[in-house]
This record gives sequence, C-alpha cells and structure tokens, in this order.
Amino acid sequence: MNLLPFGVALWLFVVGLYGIVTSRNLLHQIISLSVVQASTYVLLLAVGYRTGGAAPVFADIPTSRATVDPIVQALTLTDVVVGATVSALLLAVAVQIHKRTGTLDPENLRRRPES
Amino acid sequence: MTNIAPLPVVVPLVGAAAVLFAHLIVPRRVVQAFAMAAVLAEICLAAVLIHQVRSTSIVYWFGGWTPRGAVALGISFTVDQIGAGAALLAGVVSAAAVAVAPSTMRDPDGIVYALFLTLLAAMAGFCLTGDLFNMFVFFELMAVSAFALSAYDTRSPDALRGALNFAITNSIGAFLVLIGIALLYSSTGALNLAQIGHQLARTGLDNASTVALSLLLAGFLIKAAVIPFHFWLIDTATTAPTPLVMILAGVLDTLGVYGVARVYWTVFASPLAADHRAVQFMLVAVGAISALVAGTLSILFSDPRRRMAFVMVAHTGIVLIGVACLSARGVAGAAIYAVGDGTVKAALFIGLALIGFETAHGQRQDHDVAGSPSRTAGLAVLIVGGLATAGLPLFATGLGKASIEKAAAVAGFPWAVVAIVFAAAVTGGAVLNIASTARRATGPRRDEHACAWVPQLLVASILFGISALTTKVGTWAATAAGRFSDTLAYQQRVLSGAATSPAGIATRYATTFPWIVLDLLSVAAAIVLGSGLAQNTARRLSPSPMRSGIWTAIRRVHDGSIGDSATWVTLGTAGIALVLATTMH
Repeated sequence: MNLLPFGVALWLFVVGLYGIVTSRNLLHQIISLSVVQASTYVLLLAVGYRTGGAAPVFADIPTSRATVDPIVQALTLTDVVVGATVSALLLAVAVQIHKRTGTLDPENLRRRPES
Repeated sequence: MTNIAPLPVVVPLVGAAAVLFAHLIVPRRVVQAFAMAAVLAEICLAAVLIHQVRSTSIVYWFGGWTPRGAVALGISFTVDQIGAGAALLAGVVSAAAVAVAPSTMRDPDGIVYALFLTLLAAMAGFCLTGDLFNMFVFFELMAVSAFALSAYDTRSPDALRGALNFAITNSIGAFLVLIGIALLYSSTGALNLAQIGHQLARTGLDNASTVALSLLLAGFLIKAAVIPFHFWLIDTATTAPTPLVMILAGVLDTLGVYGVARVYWTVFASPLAADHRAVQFMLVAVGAISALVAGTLSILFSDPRRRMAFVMVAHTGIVLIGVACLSARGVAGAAIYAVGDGTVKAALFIGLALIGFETAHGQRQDHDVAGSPSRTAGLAVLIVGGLATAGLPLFATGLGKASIEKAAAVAGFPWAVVAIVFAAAVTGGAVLNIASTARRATGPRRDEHACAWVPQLLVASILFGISALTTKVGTWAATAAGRFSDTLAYQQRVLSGAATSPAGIATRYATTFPWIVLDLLSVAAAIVLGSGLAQNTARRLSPSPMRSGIWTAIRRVHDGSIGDSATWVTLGTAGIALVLATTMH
C-alpha cells in the first residue's frame, strides 16, 4: 500500500487546522476550513484505490475487470456537496460581518469582557 | 404492517419545501401553522414507531437492497426504542420552538420555519439510521440548519461571530467523524453499523480502527459540547435566537452523546470487550470534569444566557457519565435524564425570554417590568425549572440523575456520583439565582404585546408536564436500554433479519432510599446557592487578587475566539487519541 496519499491527507488536515487557529482574516479562515475538508476527499479516494483498477463504469469493460471502489467516490461526491453548502453559508456570514463591522479580523470580533 | 421508518425524516423535509413555497403566497400565521402541522406529524410518526418496535426492532432497506448472504449491501434505517424515543424528543422540542418563534424572534418568515423543519428531519434521521455514513450526512445537515438559524439576526456582529464559531468548530467535528468513517471502511469494507461491528468482532481492532474510534468519539463529543469542546456552545448559546437555543439545549447536544452510545454499542462493544475499561474511564472522566467545571462556572457568570450555556455543558456531562458506564443501566438513566432535563431546559429559555433577557433585537434588552404578568410568569418558570434542574424527584431529572448515579456507583466510579450531585446542585442554584436577582431589579416599563406571555407560559408548562410524566417510563427505559446495548441481537436483526428476543437485562430500579436522599440534597443546596447567600460569603472569604486573576483568565478563554475554539478541539482530540493509544493493547 502506497502511504503517500495518506501522508498528503494528514498534511492537508494539519495545515488547514493551523490556518484556522492562527488566521487574522475570516475569508482565510473559511478557506482553511475547505483545506481541512480537502484532506477527507484525498483520504476517501486513497482508501478505495486499487492498483491497476479501472474506473468503475461497466458500460465498456467486462464486469470481471478489477476497478477502484465506487462507494468511496460516491461518499466523496456527497462530501463535496456538504462542503459547498458549508462554505457558501460561511462566506455569506463573513459578508454580513464585513458590512456590519467593517472588519474581517477575528481578533476585533472578540466578545467584550463582562462580569 | 406498513413500514413507516423513513417517514419521520421524509415528512419534515417535504414540509420544509411546502413551507418555502407557501410563504410566498400566504400570511405568516398560516406558514407557522403549516410548519407546526409538519412537526406534529413527525411526533405522531415517532410515537407510532415507538409502539411498533416495542418487541423487536424495525429494519428498513432503502430501495429494497436487503442483505445478500448476511452481508449488508444497501442503506438501512434500524429503529429501536431508544432511537425512536430520541426522534420523539426532537419533535417535541421542535414543536415548542416553532410555537414560541413569533414572540421570541424578530419577524420569523417562511425560511426560518423551513430551517426548523430541515433541522428536525436531520435529527430524526440521525436517531433512526443504521448506517454510519448516513449518520455523518444527518450530522452535517443538523449543523448547517442550526448555524443558518443562529446567524438569523444579521444585525448583531456577536450573533454572526457566534454562528461562525458554531459552524467552523462543528465542521471540524464532522470531518473528524468522516475520517473515522473512512478508516473504518478501509479496515472492514462496510458502512452499515451492524456490518462493521460484525466484521470487527471477528478480526479485532487494528490500528486504523483504533484511530477511527478516537476520531469518532472526538467528533461526536464536539457536537455534545463537553469540556474541552464546549467553547462554541458558550458563544452560540449566548447569541442565538431563543427557539434555536431551546433545540440546542433540549436535544441537539444530547444527540452528540447519543452518537457516542450508538457507535459504541453497535460497532465497538464486542472488539473492545477486553479493553472497555480504558474507554469507560476516559468518558466518565470527561463527563465528570464537564459537570464539575461547567457547573462551577455556571454560578460564577452573571449574564443569564452564559449561565444557561454552562448549565447545558454540565448537564451534557451528566448524560455522558450515564452512557460512559457502558451498561444498560447507565443507558437507561441517560435516556430518562436526557428527556427529563432537555424539556426542562427548553422551558427555562422560554422563562428567560419572558423576563426580558432577549437577544432578538440585536442586543440584550434588560427591560424590567416589575410586577407585569409576563415577568411573573417568567419568574415562575425559572423557579420551577431551577428546582427541576437540581433534580426535584417530581421531575424526570430526579429519576434520571438517581439512575445515572446508581449506574456510576455500580461501575466503580463513586467520585462521578459526587460530581453529579455537585453539578445538579450548583446548576439548580445558578438558575434559581437568575430568578432571585431578576426579582430585585427594576427598570423602565416596556410596551408589551398584549398577552404574548400566555402561549409562552402554556408551552413551558407542557414541557414541564412532559418532564414530570417521564418519571413513569422507568421500566420502559430499562427494557429499551437493555435492547439498545445488546450488540449481538442488533447485528443479527440487521444482517439476517432474526427477530431480536428481548434481552435479559431488564434492569428494574426506582428512586429508592439512598438515591432520593442525594436528589433532595442537591435541591436543598440549590436553594441555598440560589438565594445568593453562598456567593456573598465566598466573595467575602476568598482573597480577591488571586480570584480576579483566575477569573480574568477564565473570561478571556471564553471570549468567543474561533481560533481558540479550534485549538481546544485539536488538543482534546489529541488527548483522547493519546489516552486510547496508551491504555489499549
């Protein structure tokens, strides 16, 4: 088993998380979240990969032919849809925040101290 | 018998589409009635399901893809009593939220009701499904609907930040769950809970599935918002509109713990049989820490919404202790407590809205109308709710708490019992204290909608009534929990269709002698704390420079920074993985 895709997935996850934690710009923070999510795409596809496997479309290949796993591809597709929804909503919120406060820096959004 | 298992999800989804269409042509009152009808239909369907699964679980295979040769190919809804009961609770709290929406939100339109319905559909699906990937999808749908609702008040930067924090932290949780699913799929080739469990029982846990276990636990605990994953909730529960917070407090948090329980009993119970002590200890510790720390903080903060947010964290900790005992007795206690306490907390948020701590208009209004009927009603709700929060045996919080305490003691965690009694006492005190300080405050009179408080008080009373009635279902919960935790029967039912024989673990219990004393002890302590006596004494006794230093640090940590929240999520996940890696063989 080739470990490279798993390493890539781990790297994307960590680097995206680092972006979320340290970011000083909401857009950057939201895109970092997309990067974290990209790690799940890579991981899912890596899990279903078969060396030498064809695309799992049996219209023009014999059903005995080895293919990569179609289930994880369906999962990835679902995951992409979920990701698009989340990003769209988050970006809409970021636009509203910019409209109300004139800033996209999360540090300026911290709650005012209270007792 | 027709199989209605998917309908509790289908009906609210269709209702959401219908509401979106209807709000273009009919007035808001009618739209609200439409939405209410869909929620009530879900409640009826969930109730029918509970009746249908009284002797054996229902398995519904989408598209007729039944297992071939005892291997699950399709996607199933696997409905048992606990799952259907959770779907019913989701419906009840959603109904309460939809009922009070017009009087507690700024002009809710069709889109708001549609979001409540998709949220309900997602919660029902999460409770009923028998497929792990399906759980992830519903988990995300819950999060997306809920955070769209929490960002509803776009005029308030605080509310928008709360929504962002909610969305980002919960999405990280969802991705952790998804990575766990991918790893489980890589080692078992299955997505159906029963199939994964069956496979792992034969092969044992490999490294990938051990990592998957810690990621799934962390992901679901982020939704449950137990310490150290609670930062998003403190922020969101302070800024979100009342109806959404009712759902958050009433069901959504608890569903995180439900996810932990479901995945543990269906997938990990058999392969972990030798090692379950490590998981048990870790989860009980997380629950006890949440109960102790969040309980203490709940009474130290003065803002009522923040207080309630910490009360939520502490109580989810108590439910987690119940599940963490990894016994049928613990599951039964957790189920009773979740229903009894969820309904009470939903009512408490109505109480806060009644006395005028509202965020609906962009900022908190502390209008005080001393002696107005709305205020009196709100104070009554807070006082009854405070006593229920502390575990007054009249309500199911008392029975649930006693059952969880007993389960913890039997499982060998007497210190967890102390944590539960303490948390119930201080959270009850925190709620009663809101009432006792609000009573003294005075302020300018506000113009009220005539009698808007009547339906709100009615809804709160119904919620209290449900909590009280739940004390009658102890035996039912014991049987249900026995079946919920019967891993083998679950797998056989799904994979080969064999009817589950009711498991032999029909735990009988009642609020009997030693436990009822603990309940009453919590209530008494809550009354003392609620009167404000204890706070004044503590203020006089403790050295103030040290106190203010720690206090500033605690407040800063809870100031709603998304980066901080993500950092704690990372640390918590790493902690869980580390504990499991070092303690399991």
